[in-house]
Amino acid sequence: MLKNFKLYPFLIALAIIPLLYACKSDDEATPEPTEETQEKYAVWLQIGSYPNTTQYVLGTNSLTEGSINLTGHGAEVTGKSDYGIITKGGFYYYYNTTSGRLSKFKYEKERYNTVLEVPFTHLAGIDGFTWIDDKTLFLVGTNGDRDKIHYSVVNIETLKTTNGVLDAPAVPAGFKNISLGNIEYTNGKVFVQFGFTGVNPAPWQVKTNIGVVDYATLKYEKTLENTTSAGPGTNKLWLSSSFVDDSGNTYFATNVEWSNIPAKKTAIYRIKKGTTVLDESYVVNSTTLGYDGVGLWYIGGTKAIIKYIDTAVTGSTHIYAFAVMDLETGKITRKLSEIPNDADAYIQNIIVEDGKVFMVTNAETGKDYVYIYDIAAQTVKTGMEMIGGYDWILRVDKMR
Amino acid sequence: MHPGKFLFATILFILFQFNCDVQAQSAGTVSGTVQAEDGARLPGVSVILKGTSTGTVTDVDGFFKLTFKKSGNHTLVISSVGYLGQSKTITAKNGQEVKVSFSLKPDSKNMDELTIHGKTETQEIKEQAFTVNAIETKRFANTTADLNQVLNKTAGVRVREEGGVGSDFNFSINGLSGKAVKFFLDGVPMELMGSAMSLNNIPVNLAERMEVYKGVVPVSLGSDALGGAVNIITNQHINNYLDASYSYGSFNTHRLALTGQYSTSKGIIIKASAFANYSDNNYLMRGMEIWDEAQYKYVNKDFKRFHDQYKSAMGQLEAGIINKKWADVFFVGFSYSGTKQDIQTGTRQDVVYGAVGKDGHAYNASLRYRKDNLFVKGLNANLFASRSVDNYVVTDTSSYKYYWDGSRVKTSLAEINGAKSITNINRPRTFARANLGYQLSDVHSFNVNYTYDHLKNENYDELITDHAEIPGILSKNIIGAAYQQNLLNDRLTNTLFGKFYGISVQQSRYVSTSGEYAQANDSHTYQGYGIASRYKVLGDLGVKASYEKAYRLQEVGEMFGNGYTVIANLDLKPESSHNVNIGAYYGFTVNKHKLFIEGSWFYRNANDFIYSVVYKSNSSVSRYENTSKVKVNGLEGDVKYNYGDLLYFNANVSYQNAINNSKYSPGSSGSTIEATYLNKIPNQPWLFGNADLSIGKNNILGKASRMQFNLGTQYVHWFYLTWEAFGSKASKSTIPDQYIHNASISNSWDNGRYNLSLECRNFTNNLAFDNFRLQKPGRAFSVKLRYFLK
Repeated sequence: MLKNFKLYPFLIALAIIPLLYACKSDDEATPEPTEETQEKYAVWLQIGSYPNTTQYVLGTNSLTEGSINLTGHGAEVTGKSDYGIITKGGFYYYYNTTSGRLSKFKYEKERYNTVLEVPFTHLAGIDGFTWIDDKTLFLVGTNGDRDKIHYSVVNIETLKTTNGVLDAPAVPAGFKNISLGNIEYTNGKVFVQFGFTGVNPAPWQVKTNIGVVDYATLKYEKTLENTTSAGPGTNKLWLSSSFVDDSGNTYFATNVEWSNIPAKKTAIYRIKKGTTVLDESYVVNSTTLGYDGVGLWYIGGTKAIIKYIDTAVTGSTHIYAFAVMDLETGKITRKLSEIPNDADAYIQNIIVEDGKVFMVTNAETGKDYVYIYDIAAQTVKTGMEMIGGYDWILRVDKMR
Repeated sequence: MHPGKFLFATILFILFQFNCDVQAQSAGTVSGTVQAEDGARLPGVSVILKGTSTGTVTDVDGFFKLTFKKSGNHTLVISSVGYLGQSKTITAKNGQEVKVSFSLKPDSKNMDELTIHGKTETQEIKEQAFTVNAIETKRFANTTADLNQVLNKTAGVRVREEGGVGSDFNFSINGLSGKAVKFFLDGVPMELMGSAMSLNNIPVNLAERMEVYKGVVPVSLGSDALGGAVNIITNQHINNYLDASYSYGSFNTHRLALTGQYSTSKGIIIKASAFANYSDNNYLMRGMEIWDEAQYKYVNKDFKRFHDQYKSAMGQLEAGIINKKWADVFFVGFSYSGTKQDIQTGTRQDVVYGAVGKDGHAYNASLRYRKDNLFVKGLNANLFASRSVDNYVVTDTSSYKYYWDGSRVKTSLAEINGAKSITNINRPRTFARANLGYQLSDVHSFNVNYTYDHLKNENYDELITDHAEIPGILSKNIIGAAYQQNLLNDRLTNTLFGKFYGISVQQSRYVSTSGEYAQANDSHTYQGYGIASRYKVLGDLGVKASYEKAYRLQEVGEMFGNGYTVIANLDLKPESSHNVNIGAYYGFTVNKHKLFIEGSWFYRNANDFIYSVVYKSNSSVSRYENTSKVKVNGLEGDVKYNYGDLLYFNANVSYQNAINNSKYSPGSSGSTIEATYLNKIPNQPWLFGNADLSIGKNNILGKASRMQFNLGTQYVHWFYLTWEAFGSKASKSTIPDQYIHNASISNSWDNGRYNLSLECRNFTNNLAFDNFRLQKPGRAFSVKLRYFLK
C-alpha cells in the first residue's frame, strides 16, 4: 500500500507550508485615539511571584465607591517603568537607568503611553526630586561611584535638562558613598538631605546632613547637621518623608529602614519658613512619638500621617502601621487602627483631597479597600474595593 | 597556554599521529559494509571472527572494522535478526586492510515478528522505560549546528537564545528550565569542563549521540536534575578515527572542530577533541530606536551589532589503555577551555553596551576507569574522578553610554551598574563518581551510583578587593540505587530506583552590624525515588510510564547570600517536583519504508522554586526564597519516516500548559488567594514544533559520493510576556510567532571521507525572537569542509 503512495510532494508541501505564514513583526500597535478624558485617579498593582512579577496601572473616577478589577483591565507598565515614579498633572516622569532615557508617560483609558522620551545619563538614578514650579522638576542623584551629588533641572514640557554637580562636602574618611533621599524646595532654596555610608555591612555615619542650595545660582551654600538620627530620609519616588507645610515650614523625617545604624531611631527635623537653619527647639524623635517611623505625609494644617513600625506585631511582615500626628507637639493624636498594617515600607499609600485622606495598604487578611480618613471628623471608612488578591498594591495617585 | 596555541598544538599532534598510523601499522585489518538486498545499510549487525571472541557490530552506516592478531585465513560470520546469516573467508596479511561487503537476504521465518532489524543504539535508547529523546548527530555532521541547535529540533525541548553565536540561553525540558536541567558529557557534569563549555558552542561533530531525559533521570547520572538531563555521548568506538571540520559563514563566523582517536602499537590509546569558535555576531538589528536631535524624538533604524565578538576554544586530550586484565578502560585526561566575549545588550535590546566583556578560563584533569566482570561475572565497575578550576571575569569599567549607531557619550556611570566593577568568579571543584552494576541473571540487575561533588565559590570585585571574603563551599553526596527486572522474555521492563541527596553548605557569613563574620554551616538530606516501566505489546510497539520525585538542591549563595546585598535564608528548601510521563511508541518497516511514531503525556508538579526576591521592595538587599509552585501538563508527538537512504522526514510538536500553582504569595498569612493562582505562566513558549526533510542520493558526483539536501522548519507559537488575564489586551506585550527555515546541501566523497556543504539559516530572513525584544540573527550563509577518516 505504502509503495504506491507518492510521499515526496506531500512532505515537501508540509515543510513549505509554514513559509507562507512567515513574517510577523514585533512592532507595537500604535495607540488608538480616545475621545474620553483621563480617569481621575490611578492605582498601581503588582501580581505574580518572581520572576513573573508584573506591575499594572489601573484608572478609576472614584475612590469612594465601587470596585476595580485587573482582569482584562489596566495597562502593563513592566518593561516601560516601575512604580518608583514621579507624577504631576496627569503625567508620569521616569528615568530608565538601563536604557538611559528620561520618559514622560500618560495613563488613559487602559493604555500607558509614552508621551516623550529623551536620552539622559547624568544621574546614576533619581535619588530624590522636588518641584520648583509646575513646569520645573529638580532631580538629584549620585555619580557612578556614588561619592558626588549630581543634579538636573528638568523642563517637563520638553524634558530638556540643565545638569551639574553640587559642591557638597567630600565623603569623610571611613565612609565610601553618599546616600540621598529627602529634598524640598522653598523660598528660593533647595534642601537636600543626605548621609554617608560605609561598605556594607559597615554601619553608616550616625549623622543627618542637609545641604542648602541656592536655586537661582545653583550654589551649594552650607550643610546643616544633626546626630539624633542618621540617613537621608526617603526617596519620594516610593514613599514620602518630607514636605513643606501650609505655613512654609519644611519638615524632614528620617527613615529607620533606609539607614544602617546600630540602634534604629527616628527623628523629624524642622526648618522654619524663611530660615536656612535647623530649628534647634524642635525636638521630635522616637521618644516623643513612641515609635520609629519610615514615612511621613502632610495632610494639612498641623497634621501629618506617620507610617511607623508597630513593635507589637511579631511573626508577620505586616508591621507598618499608620497614625495621625500633630506636627507642633510631635505627638501621635490618633492611631489609624481601622487601617490594616502594611507589609512594606516603600508604598505610596496616601493622597489628600478636599479634607479627606485616601489610603491604600497591603492587608494581611480580608479584602483590599481604599480607606478614607476624614480629617475634620477623624473617622475612617472604606471606599472602593480592589478585587482580585493582588500581591502588592503599590501606589495611589491623583491624576486630575 | 593561549587557547589558540593549544588548539593548534592539538591539531598538529593529531595529524602527526595519524600520519604515523599509516606508516607503522603492523596488524592486519578487515573492514566493510553490511547492507540489505535493497541496498539499505544495516546497523547493529554482529560481525564475529569464527572460533574467536573477537567481534564487533556495524555502525549506523552498516560499516565495521576488525583487527586481527595473526595473519592467515579467517572466517567472518555475519548475523542479524530478521536476516539470514552469512560467512566469508578472507586472507589477512600483515599491515594490510582487507575490504569485504555483505548483502543479507531477509529471513522470512523471522520477518513475521518484525523484531529487531539491527536497531541503532538511539532506537534502543528510545525503547527504554525512561522518556528520552535520543538524537544521532550523524545527520547533522555536515551542518554548522552547535548542540543547542540540534537539541532545539527535538520534541519537548525549547532553547531560548538571547542573540547570536555564544549568547546566553535558557534550556527547557517539558516546561522546566534553568537550574532544573543538568548537562552531562559522557555521564559526568559538563560544568567540570568549565563555564566556557556549553551547549551553545560545542560543535555537533564532537558528539556522536545525545540523550535528553525528561523528568525521570537514571541513577547513573547521579545528580539533582529536577526537570531532566541532557547527556552528550562522544565517540566511544575503539577504532581509530579522525573527524576534522572547518566552517566559515556570515557575520565573520568561523568554527573549527576536531575529534579523533589513535592507538599506538603498544596498545596506548590517545583520544583528542578540540574546537574553536569565532564570530563577530555583527548581524543586522532591525528597527532599533535611536535619538534624532533634529526631529527631537527616537526614530527606528537598522544597525549592525558592533560589540558582540565571541571567541571560545576547548581542547581535551586523553591517554589510556583498553582491554587489559586489570582494566577494560583506563584513561587520564586533561582539558582546557576558554572564552572571550563582548556583551552587546542587557535584557532588552534597547539597553546597549559598548565595552562590557566577559572572559573565562577553565582547566580540568580527569581519570576514568572501567572494569567489567570485576571479581565475579556480571559485576561491572565504572569510576571517574576529576579536579577542575573555572575562572571568569566580567568587566564593566567604561564611563560611556553607547547607542546603536556605535556613538557614545561620556558619563560618570559604568554600563551595567552605576558603579564600575571587575567581577571575578572562581570555582575550584572536585568531583568523583563510582558506579557499580551487577547483572544477577537475565531477569534481575542492579545498579548503584555514588557521586561526590565539592565546589568552592569565590566571588569578588577586583576594584574593591583582591580576594573573596566569604567564599561558599558546597558539598553534595548523592547515592542512587536501581533495580531492574526484565520479565516476559524482556517484554516487560521495570526499573525501581531511589536517590539519596546529602548536601552540606558552608560560608563565613555576616552576622552583626559591627561587621564581624561568623562561620555558618548547614547540612540537609533528602530522598527521592521513582519507577520506570516499559511493556512491549509487540516487537516494535511499546508503552511506557515513569515517575520520579525529583529535587534541585539549594546552592550556597542561595542559602547564605553574599554577605552584603543578598541576605541569608537558612530555611530555604530545595526545589522539588513530582514528574510523570506516560507514552507509547510504534515502529514498522515495510520494504524500504520505515516509520517510527512516539507520543507522550507529561505532568510536572513542581514546588518551592527558588528565586531571588527583593526583600523589601527597593531596599538594597534581596534574598532567595521558595517563591512559586508550577504545574505542567503537556503532550508531545514525534514522527520519523524514511524511505531507504533516499528520504528522511521528521516532524514533532510539543504542547505544554504550565500554570501557577502557588495559591498564596510567599510570606502571606494564607487568607487571600493570589490573583495569578491557576493562571498560565507567562513568558514561556507553550506550543512549538519542528519539521525536517532530507533527500539524499548516492553517486551523483562520482563513485562513492553522496549528495544530500536538508530542509528544516521551526515554529514557535506567539506567547504573552506577562500574565494573560490581567491588564487590557491593547496594553499587553507579546513575543511574536517565530518561523525559522534552514536549508543545506552537502556532498560527500570517498564514502564520507571528504565533505563539503553549503548552508543557509533563516533563509526567509524572518525576524526571530526567543525573548522579548532581543532579536536573533536574520539570514546567514555558511560553508563547511569536513574530513572524516575511520
